[in-house]
Amino acid sequence: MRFKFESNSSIYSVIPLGNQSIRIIAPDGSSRDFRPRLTEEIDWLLPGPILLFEDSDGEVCSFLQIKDRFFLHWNGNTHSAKLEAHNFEDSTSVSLEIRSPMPGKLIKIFKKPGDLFEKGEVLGVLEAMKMENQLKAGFPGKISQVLKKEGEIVSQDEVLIVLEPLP
Amino acid sequence: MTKINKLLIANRGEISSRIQKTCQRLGIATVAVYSEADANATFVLSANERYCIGKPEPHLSYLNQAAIISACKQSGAQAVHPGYGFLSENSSFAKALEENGILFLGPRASSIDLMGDKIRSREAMSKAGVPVVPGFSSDSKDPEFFLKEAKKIGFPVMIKATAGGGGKGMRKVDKEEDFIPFFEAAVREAEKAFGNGLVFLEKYISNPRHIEFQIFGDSHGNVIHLHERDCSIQRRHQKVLEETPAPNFPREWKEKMATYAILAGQSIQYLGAGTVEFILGEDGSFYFLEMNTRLQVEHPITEMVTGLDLVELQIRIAEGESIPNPLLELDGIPQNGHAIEVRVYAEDPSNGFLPSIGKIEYMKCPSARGIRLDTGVDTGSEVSIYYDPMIGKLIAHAEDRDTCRKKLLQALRKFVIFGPTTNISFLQNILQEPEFIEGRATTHFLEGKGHLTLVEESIQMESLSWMFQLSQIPIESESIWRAVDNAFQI
Repeated sequence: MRFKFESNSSIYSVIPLGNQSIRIIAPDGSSRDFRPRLTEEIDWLLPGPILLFEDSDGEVCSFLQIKDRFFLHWNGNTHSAKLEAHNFEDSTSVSLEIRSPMPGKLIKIFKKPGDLFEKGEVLGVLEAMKMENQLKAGFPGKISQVLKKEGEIVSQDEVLIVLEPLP
Repeated sequence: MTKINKLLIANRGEISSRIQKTCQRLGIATVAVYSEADANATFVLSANERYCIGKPEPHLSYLNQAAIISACKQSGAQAVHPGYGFLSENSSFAKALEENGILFLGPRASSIDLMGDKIRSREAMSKAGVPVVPGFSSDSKDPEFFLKEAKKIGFPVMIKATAGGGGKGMRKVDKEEDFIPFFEAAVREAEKAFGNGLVFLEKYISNPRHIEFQIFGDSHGNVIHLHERDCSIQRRHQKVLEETPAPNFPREWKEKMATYAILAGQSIQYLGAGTVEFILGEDGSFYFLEMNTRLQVEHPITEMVTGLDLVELQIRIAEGESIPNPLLELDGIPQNGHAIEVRVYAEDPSNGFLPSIGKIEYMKCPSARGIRLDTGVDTGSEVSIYYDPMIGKLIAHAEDRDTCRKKLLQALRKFVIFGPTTNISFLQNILQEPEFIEGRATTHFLEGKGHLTLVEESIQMESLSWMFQLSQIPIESESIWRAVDNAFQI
């Protein structure tokens, strides 16, 4: 068994090794084994339910899972991750679609189908909460389709632009 | 003199809740106005009366003057507190309220107008004798002419495009011999970028700090200051952390700046709460930047060290009362201990500080002696696309700066928000940065400090092992009953 988690926009592999050990493989390929030790003191809290537990220093930590989203408050910091159950592709591959990272208004599209672009080039600008967010290309290529118009309101994760890599 | 016994708050979120707290203490009824997006927000439910004033977009609700004035009339509120942002620095709103016989908890419309204009306010302050950043502007493009002026100002100087923005046509000149070529380059760049080659000169202030003074004026001609706030830690001109007293701030500097802050207020017969912002150079030279004619986001740190309720002072001054006598005496305003505020935002520091919106699935606030949290959200609230994604302000107060810093750090470590990503870890990293610990932060503090936004890879990996392990624990039916039990205990 092998799980892929997305955290901080990077993909990590999680491999349970049995005997309470868990191997984590970082995006750069390095790996480490951990044995998170739970004490007997576990509590549940609504809503959620939130799982409350103590770490080895006796500090109260909390955990919440909502479908494929995981939230952990541990060691004084909050971490979150998303289980990418259906996404087993290599973490170095880059999506061929530009999706909206959040709901907002598409205020600029700089390209039309057939246009070429460089890696890192800004293809469009999405405005959300008074802030402008650049939509950048992850690789050099050609615009295949532009699915939204300037001025359109888009929801999270909607496909805005379809790309094709250069041969 | 009108006694205010019903106050309408023309704002939302944490500042509306904050104003309501003072009103409750003073026995003043509160009226909330809200947009459709905020129908279930904490600040709406906690007010004594509530009026929906329109659609979520700010210009259709929180900026809709007619709807707000009509809510005043319907509710019978005698006064309006504008909070900060939205209509707080809008003179036409202040005038419209006056015409309708409603008190505005802010300065006179003329003060708002004057201070809202960067050029006019600078001129007015300079005329009153308040130091402003030395500069020079002219319709000429003659380099020799400008060089003469640059020498008067003293190097280093900044050359800036009059039509400018985004660093185009901008040059920092360190030495006299560089001036002419840099000037010509700036003019060429400005011409290309803005079609207008006009530039102006401004003194360059090395390692500047942002120091501001809280002032209050009343209708009897009194103007007082409630000490300084150091707001040097900023990201893209947005304050991130504020503290008072300012660290490494000699008494002579403070006394001089305070005198000018009061002079600034007196020169325009300022009424109510205002903030005079200065830029302070490392050599102790300081210049007027601007004046904010409203209650500031960071007002709580001033409240923590002075023990005064700034909203109460605003209300009493609007009613026509004088600033209380003890506060008018020399050294009459206490400054006890140290206070630091951090702004907790729903944003992702590791992803370019992109706003992170959505439902707050779980929120657990730290609570301890000397810890104050001003927030407008709770478990179940939505951080919406329409407004500033601030979750709240966490403030610590202690007898000295380092104790305060550690207390705030502890509180941040205990602050849990599941749902939107927050900047809480980033704020913890700031509090642990040597430059901040030693009180040496300037407005350049965050430049080149990308490491503050990162999570250590080994910690990230270990957190995933915990998440995986914890997700394997089955939720048994019995555990739900234990959860219900815990819920009842709160």
